[in-house]
Amino acid sequence: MELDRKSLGRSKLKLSILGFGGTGLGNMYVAMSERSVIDTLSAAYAAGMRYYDTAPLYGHGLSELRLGGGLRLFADPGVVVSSKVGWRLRPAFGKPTEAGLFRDITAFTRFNDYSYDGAMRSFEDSLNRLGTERIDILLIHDVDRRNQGDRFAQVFGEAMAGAYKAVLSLREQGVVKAIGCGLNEWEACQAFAEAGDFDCFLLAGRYTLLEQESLQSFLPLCEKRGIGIILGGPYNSGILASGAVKDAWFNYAPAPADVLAKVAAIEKVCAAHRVALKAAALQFPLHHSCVASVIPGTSSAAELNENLRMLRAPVPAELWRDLKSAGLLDARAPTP
Amino acid sequence: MIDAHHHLWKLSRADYGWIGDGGNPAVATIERDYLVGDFRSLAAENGIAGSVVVQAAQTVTETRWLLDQARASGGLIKGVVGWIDMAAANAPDVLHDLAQDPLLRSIRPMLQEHSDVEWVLQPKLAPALHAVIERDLSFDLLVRPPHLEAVLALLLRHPDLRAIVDHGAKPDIAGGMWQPWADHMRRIARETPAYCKLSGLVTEARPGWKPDDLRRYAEHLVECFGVERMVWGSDWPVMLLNADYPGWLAAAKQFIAPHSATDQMAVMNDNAIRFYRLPMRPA
Repeated sequence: MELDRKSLGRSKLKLSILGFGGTGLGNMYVAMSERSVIDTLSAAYAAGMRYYDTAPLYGHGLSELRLGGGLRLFADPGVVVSSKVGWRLRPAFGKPTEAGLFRDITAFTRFNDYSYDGAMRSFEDSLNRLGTERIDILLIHDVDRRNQGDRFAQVFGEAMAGAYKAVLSLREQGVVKAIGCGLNEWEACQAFAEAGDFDCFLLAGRYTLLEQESLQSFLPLCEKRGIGIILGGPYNSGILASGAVKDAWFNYAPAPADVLAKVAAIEKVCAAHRVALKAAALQFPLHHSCVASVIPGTSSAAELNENLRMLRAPVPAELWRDLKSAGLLDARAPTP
Repeated sequence: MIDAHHHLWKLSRADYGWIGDGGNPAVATIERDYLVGDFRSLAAENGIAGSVVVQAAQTVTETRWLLDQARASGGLIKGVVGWIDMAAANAPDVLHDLAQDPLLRSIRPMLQEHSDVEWVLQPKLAPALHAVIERDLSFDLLVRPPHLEAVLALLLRHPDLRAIVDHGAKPDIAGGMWQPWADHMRRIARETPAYCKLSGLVTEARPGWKPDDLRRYAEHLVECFGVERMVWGSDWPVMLLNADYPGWLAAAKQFIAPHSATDQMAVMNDNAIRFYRLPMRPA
């Protein structure tokens, strides 16, 4: 099968418009079996997916280890891979390692390190876990208020003085083809975009059917500078997939009432056009010229096939028009 | 945020024993019904998006009632910590029946009620414990400091038991108790994969407590178990005996404030989701 590809900003990379989000391979929320990992990755490649994102954080190396198995299976140099620096791993020597939303993970524990040397070591560790000599896109991970809180400004400074110099040097040497940041907030992306020479940002959840605040200043800046966007979390942690059901999730946590209400209103407009909410959610970000790929987290072949179906479902232009006139979608958002 | 430990009760159900018949003056101020509606308002005011409700009666009927409350909570209550008679010969079957409901996430025998501190170690509980492990359920340990040696023995005997010590094992904060509680908690943290709840401490403090009264205890727990194995809970409405909801929430946040935002979020949200396997809809 074929999937359309889009250029990632001004970089030479072309990503399949549906990419593979690697949190599931790290056992986020649910533990994947090794068999299911192989089935899911095989299905992804067979469906034409040629862009895979991972990170040391995801399952503390588990996502990279498993993706490495997939890469050997694909044996295709045309597959684009991104990983990240900023979270490093060390052996836990018997101490429990479960952390965050990742279950049944490796015997390694994680710690933040945004130094130059730390980023270089992290990059080499990632190559080893992936069993590859090539990572195409290297992203600085989690320098945002969600993860750094009050220390954001300080950590931002550390990352620009350290990890940024490292990824820049790797790009200059041609070891990686594109550099950027993987963050949960457009404000933090913008701060990096203004401070350094980045090719792309992996933005999780901040340009979706539910929220488009990033249209205010960040995405126009990306357009002007030719910066590419990889859009993580197109379903905002689930609620744009599940709809406004009682146990819907938003932003890695149970959804609050105002979000449920907005999603219910969006669902109503979708229903009037007989469009599945998931289809609208998955396709919406791709209409922005900067967004090269959407990468929903994928934990099974069934989820993957559902995403492919949603990507191909017909969505009439009237849907976007009605969402905009109902005030549910930013009027500036590019849509057909 | 997730409140990983609160209760609900309807006194007319009349199986609580420790509350509801006017016979326990220590709990007179909370001797009224506390239902989902009450918790919903608190949750909204305090930014709580989901919760785990915990048994307060030693009956399966109450667990079924809690499962019904959770189901009717519009998604607010994400899981139930229930009760079974672990010593009964049919305990695995009872658990099997209850576990048909995915809202059941954990089992909690009220160990603190047993005068025999080694009650939990008796061999006849083994089938029930194995049933808990087999179903990948959690195990809540409601204990006081005298039970901790038995708790350690239990956890070493069952390394696959996914256990959590409720309320930091309730050290007597008002009385200034430190050892052997402090060393026992450190050993449990070091030698087992158990988790610990950052909850219930206010109930053990003197009336009119200040965060500094609790700090040493809370920080010891966080130091021993690490931010990845601490789970915040309110213990509402029991905590109302000696605190208000926002007061305890603010104190707990203060105790973990030196940690990174990622780690604070782990204690207040992520760890509860992971430990109790709270349901996440596939994205």
